[in-house]
Amino acid sequence: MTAVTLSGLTKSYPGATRPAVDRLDLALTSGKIHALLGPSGCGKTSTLKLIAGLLRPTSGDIRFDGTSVLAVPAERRGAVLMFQNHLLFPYMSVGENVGYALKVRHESRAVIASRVDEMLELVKLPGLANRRPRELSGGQQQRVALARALIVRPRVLLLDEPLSNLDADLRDDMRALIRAVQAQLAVTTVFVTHDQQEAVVMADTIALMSGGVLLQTAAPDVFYDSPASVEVARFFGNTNLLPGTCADGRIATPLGTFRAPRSTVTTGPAVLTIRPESIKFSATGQPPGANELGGQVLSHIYAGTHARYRIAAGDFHFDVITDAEAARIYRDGDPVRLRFPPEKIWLLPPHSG
Amino acid sequence: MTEPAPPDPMERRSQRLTTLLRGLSLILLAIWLVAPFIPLLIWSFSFHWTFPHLLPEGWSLRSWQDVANPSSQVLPAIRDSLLIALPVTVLSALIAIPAGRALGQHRFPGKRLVEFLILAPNIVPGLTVALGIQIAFLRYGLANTFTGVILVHLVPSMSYAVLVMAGVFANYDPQAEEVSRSLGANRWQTFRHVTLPAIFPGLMVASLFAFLISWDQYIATILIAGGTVKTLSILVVAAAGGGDRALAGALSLVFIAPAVVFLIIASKYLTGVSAARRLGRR
Repeated sequence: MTAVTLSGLTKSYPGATRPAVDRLDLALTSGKIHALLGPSGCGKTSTLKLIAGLLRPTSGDIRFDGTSVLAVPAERRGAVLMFQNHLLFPYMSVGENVGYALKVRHESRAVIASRVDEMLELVKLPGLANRRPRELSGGQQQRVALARALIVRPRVLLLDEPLSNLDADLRDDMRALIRAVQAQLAVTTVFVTHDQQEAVVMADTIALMSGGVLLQTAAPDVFYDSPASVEVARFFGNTNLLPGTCADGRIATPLGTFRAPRSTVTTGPAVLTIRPESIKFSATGQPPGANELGGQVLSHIYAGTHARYRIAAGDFHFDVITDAEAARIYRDGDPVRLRFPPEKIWLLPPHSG
Repeated sequence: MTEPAPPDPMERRSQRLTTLLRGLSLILLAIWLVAPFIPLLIWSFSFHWTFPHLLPEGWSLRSWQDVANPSSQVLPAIRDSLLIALPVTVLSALIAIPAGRALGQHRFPGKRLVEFLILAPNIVPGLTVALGIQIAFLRYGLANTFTGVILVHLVPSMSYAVLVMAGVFANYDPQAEEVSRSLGANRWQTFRHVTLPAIFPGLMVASLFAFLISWDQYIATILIAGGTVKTLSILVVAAAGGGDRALAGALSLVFIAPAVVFLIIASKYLTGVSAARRLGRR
């Protein structure tokens, strides 16, 4: 059980115009799964390698349980890496791969053999110690790599896009396995992914990064309900953005004034955002009520369990998702009335770019 | 684990054709490589062999007895050749691993220049290079020493070895090393257990080149240490110029023996280079 603290962590590569990791402050609580999420080139893999000790930070500090580990070389840091490809050492058997960390610590053969069997049991691959890595399927190789990483009970487990090379169903299996093994050993886990869905499904907390900078750290649901910025909202697929000016729990927009008690900003320019699932249709006919606006269906997709609409209202477009219980299916061109429930509206600071 | 599907007849036929062609080309290659040595072999056993005759008029083991005779200096020459070629091989490999890695893995300013400078001694005629080096070595007391000859052989040997290793490392992914470090292996353990097995076939090929280039050196050896160091190649050239064709033939065969032995040992790695590449990145 190790808590990892990054403070002011910066990594600049020579010749690069901006740092790969820029003054990152992050507290990774002990025994949990943390996702570093972001598009490629956002500095997440660099952050992983900095924690592992494979890169030396330009400035800033990394502490395990409050003690700086900057002076500790990679091989003694107890932060084990697992990559998406080149999972296993191809010249070694499965057993030699799993026992590698013990071998380089000069453990006896008997100890290594029994621990290897134990670990293969844990990842549900008993009896495969004598196979060669190439004889295993991708999913099996992944399990062996996990066993190899965990055999010395690392302080921190670092996974770089661990599932991106797997098929969809294998991926679900591996997610479940990683979660189960992680919970059993309670090892602090950090994984890097560009897949927002994967981060949401697997992680206890997500750190969203972009351009070397941390945008927001929170539990997965917070990213949907209370994103910290327009950029975060966009990354999580929320394109319902309406600029305006807010005051006294209300926001005045080109499409009217909305009651919005939940907000990061209290006065001045702001952007209204609301999740597609939170927007409701209400009956047309009567004049628009509070938090309502009129619009027209641009396009729609009926997907059985839900329907997804694109609605035009003034100069703005809104995405709306209704579940299968919705009263009716609208067709393209239908006039509609949208209602933004006040408790579902979230006001953001206007974005700079 | 799935069983491979049974090959369909078309595929089996094309496989058989491939096998046949491969066998044929191997035989042609063997003839191409071995044929030049047949006259040498015949010369070495000849007693008397003049122009219009297809085969010698008389046979003799004399030249082989001469070669085996201590007065022929063959054994000390082999010893001198090995005393030079083996250190050259080891040093070339030791230089080629880090240098090849730097050239194959990293981009840095002046890389092209470095690559060119490594190749340069092989572009300029060897005689010129050796002459220049000889003057310097005379000044520093390296002329007529084994050290001097080893250093001068190192120039062409190392440059080939570095280029081979640069190719190996260009297709090498260091991620496995990072995993190894994070699992608790220090730099040496990581090199020993992860890097070395990955580059081993390429390293064998590089070493083979280095050895053979040193073994072959003649002019450089003569110029730097002609008086004291008598390598096998010097002996062979002397015999070839001396008019005793039988002896020259026998000596030549002795001279190529290690090359053949090394080639056989390394042949599996020569084809293995592509396997190492396949492991490489991207």
